[in-house]
Amino acid sequence: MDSVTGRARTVLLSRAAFSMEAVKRASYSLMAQYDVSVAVSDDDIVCTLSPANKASPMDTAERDFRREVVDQDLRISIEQRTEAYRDTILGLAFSRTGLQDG
Amino acid sequence: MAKFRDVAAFDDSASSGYTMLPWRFTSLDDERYVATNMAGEYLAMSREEIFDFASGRLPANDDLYTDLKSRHFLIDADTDVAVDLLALKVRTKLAPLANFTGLHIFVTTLRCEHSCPYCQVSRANDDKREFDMTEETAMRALDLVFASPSPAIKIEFQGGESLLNMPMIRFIVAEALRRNATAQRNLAFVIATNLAVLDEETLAFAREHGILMSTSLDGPADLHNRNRPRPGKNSHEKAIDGIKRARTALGHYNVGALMTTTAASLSRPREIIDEYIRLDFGGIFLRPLSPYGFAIKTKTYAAYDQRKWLNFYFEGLDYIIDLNLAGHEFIEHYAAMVLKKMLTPLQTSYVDLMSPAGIGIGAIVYNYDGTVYASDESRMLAEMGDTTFALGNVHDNNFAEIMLGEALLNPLEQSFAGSVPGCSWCAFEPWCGAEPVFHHATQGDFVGKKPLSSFCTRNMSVFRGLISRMEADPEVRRIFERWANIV
Repeated sequence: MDSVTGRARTVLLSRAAFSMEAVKRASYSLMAQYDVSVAVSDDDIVCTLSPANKASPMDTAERDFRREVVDQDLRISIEQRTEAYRDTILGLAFSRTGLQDG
Repeated sequence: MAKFRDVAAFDDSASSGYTMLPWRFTSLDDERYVATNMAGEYLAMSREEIFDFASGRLPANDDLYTDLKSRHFLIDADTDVAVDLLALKVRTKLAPLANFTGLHIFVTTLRCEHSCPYCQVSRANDDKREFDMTEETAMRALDLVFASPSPAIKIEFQGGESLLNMPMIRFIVAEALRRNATAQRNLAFVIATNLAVLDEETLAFAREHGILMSTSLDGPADLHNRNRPRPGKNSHEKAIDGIKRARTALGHYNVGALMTTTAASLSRPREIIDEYIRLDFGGIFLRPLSPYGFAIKTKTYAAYDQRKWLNFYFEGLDYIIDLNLAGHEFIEHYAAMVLKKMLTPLQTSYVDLMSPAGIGIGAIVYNYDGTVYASDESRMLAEMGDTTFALGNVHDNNFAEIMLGEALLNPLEQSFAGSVPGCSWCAFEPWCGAEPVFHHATQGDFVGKKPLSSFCTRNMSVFRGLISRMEADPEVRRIFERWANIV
């Protein structure tokens, strides 16, 4: 259950469903709109969103933040699943460049 | 005896066991996302399609599957050549890095007879010769120029007003040509000038040596003269006259012009573009102000925000698109450089859109006093008292000390967009730049907090604006593809 305190919004995210990394990335991505403080309870990651400025769209804060966490969670999943290919492609791209000795 | 595969093998309606290759996604608008692969090739997709693809649910008979496969977002049992092709494309994009440094800027003098309030370089009165480059400094700077491994070297003369020290330009050109007789580089020269003091001897010299000229043109006469005051209040008249004479002497396409957007420009993008068309230029570079030099001192930079500049930019871009749709070929250079990164496997040499950053390795500046700066913006910052990007001095340091010193390597390493917060997960990263000088100047560190960066805001908006227009109209895409292959 999420609560509203003044203009701040508290968003609870299940620790079983979302990584702290995704929450941190979402907080970073939305820093122009919201100041996000993050705490941890037994089951949840507790995120309190405060307006970063007068124009911060607090009416959509919870939706914006949840959506960004979901996106970031997926990005992290894609990065982890494709990491080996990324390393291979970069390795091939930089092979025999003549930039390194030996 | 060989047999056909079972009919089930040809049923591609089910999800098909594909393997994702590295890709990223960023919102395009409320409904759509942009997905890019490692080489910067993109697809616009819905949120549902993004999640279907990522979760392995995309059927092989879906059109999107074919698009993703052809752009190397996935491999399947039919082919895994995408890994090699992607590596080749990434290598092609990064190959120019080995050829540092291509652009060498010589500040022949800080003197200038203009007094533009937005000038990004502090200027000196035009009778103060202590702000002129000396022959000894020029010779030392040329040592560094020809130590660069780049097979193509462009020497650009800047100021102040570079032509106020024409003897130094003549000296540097002659000496560079002499050295190049043995160095055998692809050597080119550009004079950046306001053209106000252009004389026939200078034109004859430029013609003799194939020197290009680049000038400033801010728009119609009233706007240009307001932006660029000089004694006589005739900057526009001088520029137009100079452009015509230089074209006659050097050839039509060997004279370029750049505009800078001030608050007074914001309501007049069409008039500014019309002025470029009237003067028979093939395009325009709609440039925002930079946060350096006199632009800060005179508060010109603070006179408008990003939103106003973006409105100006897109009104101008749409006007240019309409001109092209009506048959008049004319390009917007910033869009064209971005489109080159979006639609071709090639890079642009525009320093602001390079990652690793273009400072030092894309362009380098030799100031009149011998100080070497990582970029033109770096010397502008130094004129404000911040010498963070001063790499050394031609009289004291050799090539290795300058190019391998911490003053250059630290910002290059720290700001690399592929590994910094905000950029590393952004689908637009393959098209964007690192810009450590801008972020140092505006936020106090080389990386900057991207959500608070006007550089990031501006580029994200431009990227989205270009893709939205391409996706909405195939004719616009055709025009954009032409632009991408011109610059």
